[in-house]
Amino acid sequence: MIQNQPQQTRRFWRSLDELQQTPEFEQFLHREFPVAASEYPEGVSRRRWMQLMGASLAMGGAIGCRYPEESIAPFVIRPEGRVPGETYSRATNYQWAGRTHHLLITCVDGRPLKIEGNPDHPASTGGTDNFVQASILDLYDPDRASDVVRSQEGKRRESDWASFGAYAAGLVTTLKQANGRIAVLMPPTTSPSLVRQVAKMREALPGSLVCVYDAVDQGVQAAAATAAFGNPVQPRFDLDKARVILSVESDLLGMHPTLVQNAQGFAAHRTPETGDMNRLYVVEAGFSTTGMNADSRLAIQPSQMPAFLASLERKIDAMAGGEGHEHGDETVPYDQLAAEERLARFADVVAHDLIDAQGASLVSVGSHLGVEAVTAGYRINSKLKNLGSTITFTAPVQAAVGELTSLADLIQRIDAGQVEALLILGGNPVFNAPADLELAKAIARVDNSIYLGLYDDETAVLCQWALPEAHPLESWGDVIGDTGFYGVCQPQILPLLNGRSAAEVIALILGETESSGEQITRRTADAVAGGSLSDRQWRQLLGLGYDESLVAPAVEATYVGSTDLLTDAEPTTLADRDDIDKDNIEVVFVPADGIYDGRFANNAWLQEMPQCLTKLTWDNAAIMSPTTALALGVKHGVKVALSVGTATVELPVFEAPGLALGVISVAYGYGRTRAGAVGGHEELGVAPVGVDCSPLRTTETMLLATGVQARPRPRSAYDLATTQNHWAIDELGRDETIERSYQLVREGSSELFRTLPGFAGELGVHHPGTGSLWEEPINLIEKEYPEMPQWGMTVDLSKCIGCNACVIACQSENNVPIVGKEQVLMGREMHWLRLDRYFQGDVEHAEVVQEPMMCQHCETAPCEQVCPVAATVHTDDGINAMAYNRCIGTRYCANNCPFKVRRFNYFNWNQDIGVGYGVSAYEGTIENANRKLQQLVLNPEVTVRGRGVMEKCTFCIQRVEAGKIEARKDGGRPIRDGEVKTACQTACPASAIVFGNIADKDSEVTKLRHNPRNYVMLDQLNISPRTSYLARIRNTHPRLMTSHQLEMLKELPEKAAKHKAHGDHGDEHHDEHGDGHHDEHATEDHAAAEH
Amino acid sequence: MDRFLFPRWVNRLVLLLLGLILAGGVYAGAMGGLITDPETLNIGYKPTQPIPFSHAIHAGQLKMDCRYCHNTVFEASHAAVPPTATCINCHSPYDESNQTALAAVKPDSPLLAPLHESWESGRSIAWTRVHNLPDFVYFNHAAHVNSGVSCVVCHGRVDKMEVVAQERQLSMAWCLDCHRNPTPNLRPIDKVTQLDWKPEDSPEFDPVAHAEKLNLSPQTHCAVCHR
Repeated sequence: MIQNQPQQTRRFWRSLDELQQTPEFEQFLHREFPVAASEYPEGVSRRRWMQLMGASLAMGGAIGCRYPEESIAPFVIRPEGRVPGETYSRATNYQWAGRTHHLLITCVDGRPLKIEGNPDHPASTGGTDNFVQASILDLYDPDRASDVVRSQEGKRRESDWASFGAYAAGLVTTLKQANGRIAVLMPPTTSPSLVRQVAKMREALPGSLVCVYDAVDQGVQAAAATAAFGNPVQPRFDLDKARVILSVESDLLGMHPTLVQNAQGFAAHRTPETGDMNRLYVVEAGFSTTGMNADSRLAIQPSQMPAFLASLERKIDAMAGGEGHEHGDETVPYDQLAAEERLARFADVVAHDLIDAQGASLVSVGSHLGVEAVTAGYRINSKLKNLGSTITFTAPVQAAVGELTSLADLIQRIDAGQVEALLILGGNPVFNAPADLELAKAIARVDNSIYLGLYDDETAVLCQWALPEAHPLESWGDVIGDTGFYGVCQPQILPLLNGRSAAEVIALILGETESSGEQITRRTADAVAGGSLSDRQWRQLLGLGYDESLVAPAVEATYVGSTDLLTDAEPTTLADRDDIDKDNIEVVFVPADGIYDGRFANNAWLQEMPQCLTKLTWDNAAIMSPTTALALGVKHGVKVALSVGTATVELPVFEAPGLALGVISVAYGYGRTRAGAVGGHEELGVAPVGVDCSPLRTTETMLLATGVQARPRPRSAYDLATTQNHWAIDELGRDETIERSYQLVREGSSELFRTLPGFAGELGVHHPGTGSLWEEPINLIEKEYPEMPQWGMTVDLSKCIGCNACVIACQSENNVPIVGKEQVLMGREMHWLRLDRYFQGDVEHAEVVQEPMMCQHCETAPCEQVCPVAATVHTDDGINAMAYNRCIGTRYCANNCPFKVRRFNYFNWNQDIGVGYGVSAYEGTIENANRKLQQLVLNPEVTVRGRGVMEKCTFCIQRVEAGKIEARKDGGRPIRDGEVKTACQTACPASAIVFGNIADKDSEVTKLRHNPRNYVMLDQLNISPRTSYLARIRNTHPRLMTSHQLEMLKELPEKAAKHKAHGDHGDEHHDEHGDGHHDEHATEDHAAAEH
Repeated sequence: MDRFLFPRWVNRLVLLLLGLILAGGVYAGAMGGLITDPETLNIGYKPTQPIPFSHAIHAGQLKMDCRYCHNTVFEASHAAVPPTATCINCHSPYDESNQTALAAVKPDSPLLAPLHESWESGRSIAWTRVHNLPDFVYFNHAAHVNSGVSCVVCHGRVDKMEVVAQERQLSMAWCLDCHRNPTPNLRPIDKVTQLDWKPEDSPEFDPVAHAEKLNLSPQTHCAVCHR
C-alpha cells in the first residue's frame, strides 16, 4: 500500500520502490553491484563462452613478446590539407528525426567520428539532441540496407542500380504513354532540393500524387496552422522571448520538432541571480520531459484538456475585458487541495500570468488534442498578442510540392485502381501508418512499388524494388532551418553501403542528366540565392554551413480561424481510485525517448539510453500512476491488456508517480520485426524489442485513444530493465540525516532564493569544518605550479532539462559500450554519465528534479586510496585519471566511490560483442565480418577498454590533452577559457554544463563556483569534488506553491540564522575537540609515562 | 619383510636434481629478466622494408631536412610517413614514351619497382612500422618538437642508418627519465631536425631559460600519455 501522507513522505525519492522501501531497493542500496553481477551472460551458452575465451587465449600466445608488427600505409597522393591521424571539422546541415540541425562533424582520416552543433551558426549555439548524437552509429550500422533488391514472383533477388535505372526509364515511358499515375509517399521534409525534385516529377508526369505522411504528428500542426492563419505557414516558437509559457500536452522540451532551439531559449532565461526567470506551466496527462521542467504542473486527462483550454480562454476574455474577481481564501497549499480545486486554482493563476505577460507569453497545444484544439491555442495566442513576438512564421518548405493527398485518400485511390506506381521515399510507413488503413495490402495492389529506405524494413520487404538510402553523412542535400537559414548537407564520406539520396533517386527515375547529389543541390542553392552562385560563394556556403544572405524571409500571419470556443463545458478531473473506470481509460501514444517512431530501433545507443522519466531501457511499457494501477488491479512488472474495439495489446505495467488518473502513457515504435540485429528481425531470429502497439492505433486513435478497456494479465511477470535504482548513492545513514535536510539534489523556489540566496548551502549537512591534517598532494601542486590549470565543472540544475543529449554524446566520444537488456537487468550498464532522477512531493502530485551525475573528480578521491595497484590516480591538473593498463579489476574503487560512478567491464563488450550489440542480439552474427564496420565509430583518441577493467568519466581527458598540445604549439601559451570543452558540454542544448580552469579566477567556471546556488555533493566526507552543482530554482507562482516549498521558505531562513549564531560557537567547539584536544591527550599520556 | 631402501645413488641424484632446479631457476630468471628488458627487446629492431630506402643517403649525404618527407611533425601527433607522391617528385617512373614526368633519379632501378607500382596502381606501399608504441600510449610528436626535443633523442642518428633500426628503448621508464629532467635533451626549436647538432654549435642557448620561456613542465602523471 502506498502511504500518501505528507509527514511520512521522504523529501526526495528516486522511485516508488524507494518510497515504499521494498526489499528490491534495499538490495540495490546495500550491494555494490546487484545480485549475480558476476555470472555468464545469459544470451550465450557456456560452451560458446568457453570457445570465445579459448580463442582469445590462443591469440595471446601467438603474439609473443613484442607488440604485433604493424604496417603503415601512407596515401599515394595525400589530399591537400589532410594531416594523417588528426581530426578536422566540417560544417553540414541535415534533418534527423524531424528536426533540422546545423552541425559540425569531426572526422579523422576521412571518417566521421563525432557530431556537434555548429557553434558559429547564427541559429544555433552549438547544442544538439540525443537523436543526432546517435546518428553516427546508424552510419556505421552493418544492418543498413546495402543492396538494391527486386522482388519478383514472391522471391527477392539482389539487383543493382543500373537495372533499376533501366526499369525506371521503362516505367516512366509507360506512364507517360498510358497517362498513368505515380504516387509519392514521403515523410515531411525541409529539403528544398527534394521538394524541387518531387515538383519536377509532377511536371514530368502530370497527375502524379504526393502524400506527406508524418508518423509522429499525423499532420495535426500543419492542418491547424492552415486553419488558423488561412494559408500554410510554419509557426516557430521563440521561447527566448517568452516570460510565461503554457504547454498543454505539448512536449516543448522533449519531442518537439524544435527542441534544441526551445531548450536554448528556455534555459537562457533561467538565471535567478539576475532575476531573469521565465515560468513554465505544463498541463499534461503523461509525464513528459517538459513536465519535469515545469514550474507548476497539472495532470489531467487529455479528454478534459479542450475544456481546460476553453475555460482558460473564457477567463482571458473576461480579464482582458477588465473583469475582476475574488480569489477567496487560499491558505491551503496547492498540492493539498482537492483535485477539482487544484485544477481551478491552476487555471486561474495561469490566466492571470498569461494576461500579465501579454506579448511575451506563449501557449503551445500538442497534436494529441487534435486540429481544433491546436487552432484554439493559436487563437488564445492571438488574443494575448503573441503572434509576431513569441510566435513568428515562415513559409513551409514543403509548400512548393503543390497539392497534397492524405494517406487515407491515397489508399482509397490505390484501391480504386487509379495509381499505377507507388514511390515511397523512406519513413517505413507500413510499420507506422494507422492500422485500419491497411497500407500493406494497398502496396500489394499497386503494379509498380518502389521503396527507398535506410533499412530493409517492414515496408521494403513488401515493395517490388527496395533501394538503399544514403545516410545524411554520406550524401548531398540541403535544409531550410526553422529560423529560415538555408544550409547544405555535404557528405563526409562516400556512401559506405551503396546508398543514394531521395533527390538522386528521383533524378535517376526521371533520367535527368544532372543526377549527382552535388549538382542537384547546387542548382537548388542557385535557385534559393536567385542567381548562379560562384565557386567561391559555394565553397563559403559549404565551409560556414550557412550564408547570411540565404535566409528565407519571415512571413506575416494573423488569426483568421474559427472564433468559437472549443466547448462550453468546464474541465473536470478524477479525484481518486473510485473515479477510474477500467473500461474508459485514456491512452496517450508518444514517440519513444530513444527510438522515436521506431526508426532508431536498430540503434543500440538509443535502445539502451535510459528513458527520461522511467529510466527504462530496451522496452516500452504501459506507464500509469500507482492509483490507476490499483484501480485496474495490476502492478508494476506484470502485464496489462489494452483493448480498443477488437484489437488488444499486452504491455508490461510501469508505475510512475505524477501521471493523471485514468491515463496510460505508451511509447510507440517498439516491436519492430525487420529492424536489424539489435531492434529485432524475424529472419535473423532476433526477437523484437518491446511491444508493437500499432494494432491499437487506427486513424482515430493514432495519438490518443479514449474509452480503452484495460484488464490485468496476472501471472505474466515481465522484467523491465530500468536503471533507476542502480548506482544509488549510498544513503544508509540518511535516515539519521534526513532531519538535517541532507540532500544530494538541492532545489528551492524562487521565493526562497530571494529570501535566502545561499539556501543550497543550508540544505547540506551542517558539519564541522573539513580539511586535512597534512597538505594534500593536489594542494601542493596548486601551490607549486600556480600557472597549472586545475580543471573543474559546474552543472546548472536550473538550466538542465534532462534531455539525454549529454548521455549519448559521452557514449559517442568515449567509446562507451552498450551491454544489452540482460546485462542492464544485472546492473552492468556502462554509461559514464547518467541522469539521476529524483521525485519529490507525494505520489499523485510528484515533481521531478534531474541531476546529471558523472565522476566528481574529488580532490581527495576515496577510490584512489583503496586501489592496490595505483591504477586510478590524480593528474597534476586535478583530474582523477584511470590507467586502464594497471587496473587488475579488484573493484575496490567502485565499492569506495560515494557517487557510484565507476563502471566495470564484465566482458569485452567492444571486442567480443561488437559496438552497439547487446548480448541477446549478437548470437550467430559475431563472426560476421560485416560487424567490423561498426568499429569505425570508435574514437581513436580514447582507449577501448577490455574485460576486467574499471572505467569512468575522465573529464574528456583526450580533449584536455589536445587543448594543452594546441597551446604548446603556440609557444607554450596558457590555455584560454572555453578552449577545452567536454563532450557533454558541447552537446547540451541548454548550456547547463560549464567546464574550465578553476585556478583562473576569471574563468566562467570559477565565477559559477562562487554563485550562491553552488554546492558540492557529500561535502561532509571531505572529498572536495571538482564537479559542483548550482541548485535548481523552481519559479513557482506564489499562489501555486506546494506545502513543501512553503515549509522550506519558513524553516530554512530560521535555520540559517540559527546556524550563523551557532557557527562561531561551533568553530570554537571544533577547535576544542580538534588539535587542542589531541595535545591534551598527548600531555596526559606523557604525564602518565612519567609517573 | 624387507624394508624398501633407496639405493645409494639416489643421494647423488637428489643433489643433482636440487642443483639443476637451482641452476634452472637462476637461468630462467636471468633469461626472462634479460629478454623482457626493453634494452634487449626493443633496441636493434630492424625489419626489412618493401623498398630499401636509405636514410643515410637522403638525410645524411644529401642533407635533406627530415620535414621534407615527415612534414606533419610540427603540427600533428604523427610524423606522417610521406605519400608516394613525395618520392615521385624525384623518382618519377618512365611512361610509355620513355619520358619521366618529373625529376628522374634512377627511374629504372628494380629496387624502386614497388614505388612505381604504387604510383601507377594507386595502392599504398606497406611500410613496416619500426618505432611502435603500445596502443594505449598516446604519443604526440608536435608537443615534443615544439618544445625543442630533437628527433635524434628518440630515433637516434637516422641520418647514418642504411636501414632504420630502433636505437632507443622507448620504454616507459626511459620516457619518464626525460620527463623528469628534460634539460639535457633540449635545443633551439630551429635545430630540432639537425641531427648532428651539438651544444657547442649554439653557445648562446640556455636550456633552462628556454624551458622557462616556453613554460615547459613535462608532467609525469598517467593521463599525459594514457587516456
